[in-house]
Amino acid sequence: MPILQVTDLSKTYGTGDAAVHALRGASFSLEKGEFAAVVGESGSGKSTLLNCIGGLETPTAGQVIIDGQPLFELDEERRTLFRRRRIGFVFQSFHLIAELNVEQNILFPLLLDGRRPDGDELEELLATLGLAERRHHLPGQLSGGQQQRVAIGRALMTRPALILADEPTGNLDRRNSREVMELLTRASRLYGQTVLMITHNSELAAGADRVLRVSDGVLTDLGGAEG
Amino acid sequence: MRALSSVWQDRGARRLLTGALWLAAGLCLWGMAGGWLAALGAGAARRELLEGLAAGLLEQGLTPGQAAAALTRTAPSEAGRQLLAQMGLARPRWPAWGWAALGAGLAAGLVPAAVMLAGCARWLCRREGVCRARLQLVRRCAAGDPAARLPWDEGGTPGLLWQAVDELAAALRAGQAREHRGREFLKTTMEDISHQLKTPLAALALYDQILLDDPADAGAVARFAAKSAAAVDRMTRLVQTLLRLASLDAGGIAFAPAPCPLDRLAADAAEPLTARAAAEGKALTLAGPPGAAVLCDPAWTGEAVGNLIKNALDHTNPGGHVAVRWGTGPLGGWLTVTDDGPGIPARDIHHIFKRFYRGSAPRGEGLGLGLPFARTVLEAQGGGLQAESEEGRGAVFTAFLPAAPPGGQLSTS
Repeated sequence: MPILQVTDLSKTYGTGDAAVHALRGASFSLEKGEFAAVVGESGSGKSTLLNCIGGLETPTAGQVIIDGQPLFELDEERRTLFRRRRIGFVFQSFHLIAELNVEQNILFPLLLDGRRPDGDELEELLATLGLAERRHHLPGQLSGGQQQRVAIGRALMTRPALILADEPTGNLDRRNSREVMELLTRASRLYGQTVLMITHNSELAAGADRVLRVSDGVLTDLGGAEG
Repeated sequence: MRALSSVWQDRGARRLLTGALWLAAGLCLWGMAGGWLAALGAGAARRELLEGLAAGLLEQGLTPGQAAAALTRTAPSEAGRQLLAQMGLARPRWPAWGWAALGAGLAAGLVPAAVMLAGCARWLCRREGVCRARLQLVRRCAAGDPAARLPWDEGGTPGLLWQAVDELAAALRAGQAREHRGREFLKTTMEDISHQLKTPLAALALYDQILLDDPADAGAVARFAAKSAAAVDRMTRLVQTLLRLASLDAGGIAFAPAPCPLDRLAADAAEPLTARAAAEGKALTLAGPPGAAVLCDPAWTGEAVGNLIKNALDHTNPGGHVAVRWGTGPLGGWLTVTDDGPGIPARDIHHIFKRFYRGSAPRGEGLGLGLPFARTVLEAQGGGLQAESEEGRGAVFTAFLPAAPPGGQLSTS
């Protein structure tokens, strides 16, 4: 069974003549460990797709099933819990907590859940992220690329079923963008992590296993690499 | 405290602890009530005795003052003991209400005890039922049932255990899916090999026929012998590359990682291609810090980098420039191969790592395996390969590899 199944997903804002069909009948699925990129111009519906998959917006029609759980059959409270435990988010603007240091930001979702972090796992993750020597730094003391790596670490720490990345390189220069892409690719290869990334930059999608295009709310599968 | 905090996260355990707390509070109240009643009873019995004594003393003709003095005397005496012994009252008697009180206390204690036992038994039976249901789920996962899913919303240590088992089940399912994809891929690869070999084999057959038909025509013999050699060479490269790729996919290659200086890696990969670059009028430059090193198998990685440089030369026009740069960053070492050729069209860029894919406007005699090979080799060693390109603006391929540990002996092979 795929980790993510999206069936006939649609989202319409407004009604009547003012209705905006942001998403029209999108359907696709992702297997565990796949790294998929959704490309499209600004306003094409990619962010709407991601927000619906992450349960941040309720679709007008269609279904989202993550790891066998139909997302919108859960009430708001359980959906919040599911999102915290089973979905990781990486945003364009990092969204780190300014008062917490690198280590605390990475552990934050675990601590919210009352879970105890595994020391060895944290050390390995910090080494993979290249942040071992900055673990006690605050976000304000880090560069954009470093902050995004902290955000990726925070998403990876809970071992979610799915990581959703919304323009993760949007605020980064070329070199940092490559490093972020490399990290997301490594997450899918080394940790078997399923990643869905949206980007307006088609170039970055070249390294993904699957590429999907959204144009005017319509999703097209451009295929992927074998092996 | 840590263990208690963890237990508190489990909903079932929390209910049990809360129930036990209420029961303990109830038992304390019950005990206090019993003690209060016993004190009341003892007080009532003492007053009844004193009333009887007072009445008796007054009937015997004592004045109220004498009776009061007798009643308030609390110090025992030998004469008093002898009197009680004569009356048969020397030993304390079990009160008439004693057995009733004992029975009532036992009955009262049985009620909370029964509630506690019943509660514990019910909780344990439910836990047993939950464990059996989960055991069935785990067995279904082991049997490959794709619909088997363990719960995600339990708290505490049981929740972590179910999550770990579910991760294991998901990994098993993914392994089965990979195996299935691997078999499908093998089937497709065999079909591709067959297809790729069909044309050069047909051409070889044709060349042989031509050579057999007219062996005296020296010019034709030389021409078609050269074509035959080229076809054989292409088929040999194809089969060798595919066999190596298949070995990589199957994990059958044992890499020999060693600290490798990036400048050496780049130089060794570029060296066989410098003559070609010069002959084609293309600049091939190398630049980077001298101390940068990565941990990799130098032979395999050198070949992967060589593929990237060859690919760049294939897609650069005469007069163009291929630049090889390297360095280290927070994720390890990196090496880029940049060309200023026509770039990769948007319709092709998502497919460039597909095997046999040569683009919508193929250049050169490549097999379409160089980039997939390079990517497979780099990823197998904990690294990766990325591509960036815009049509008309060249392309950049970035190889990532783990950094060499500091102080390691560098490989010079």
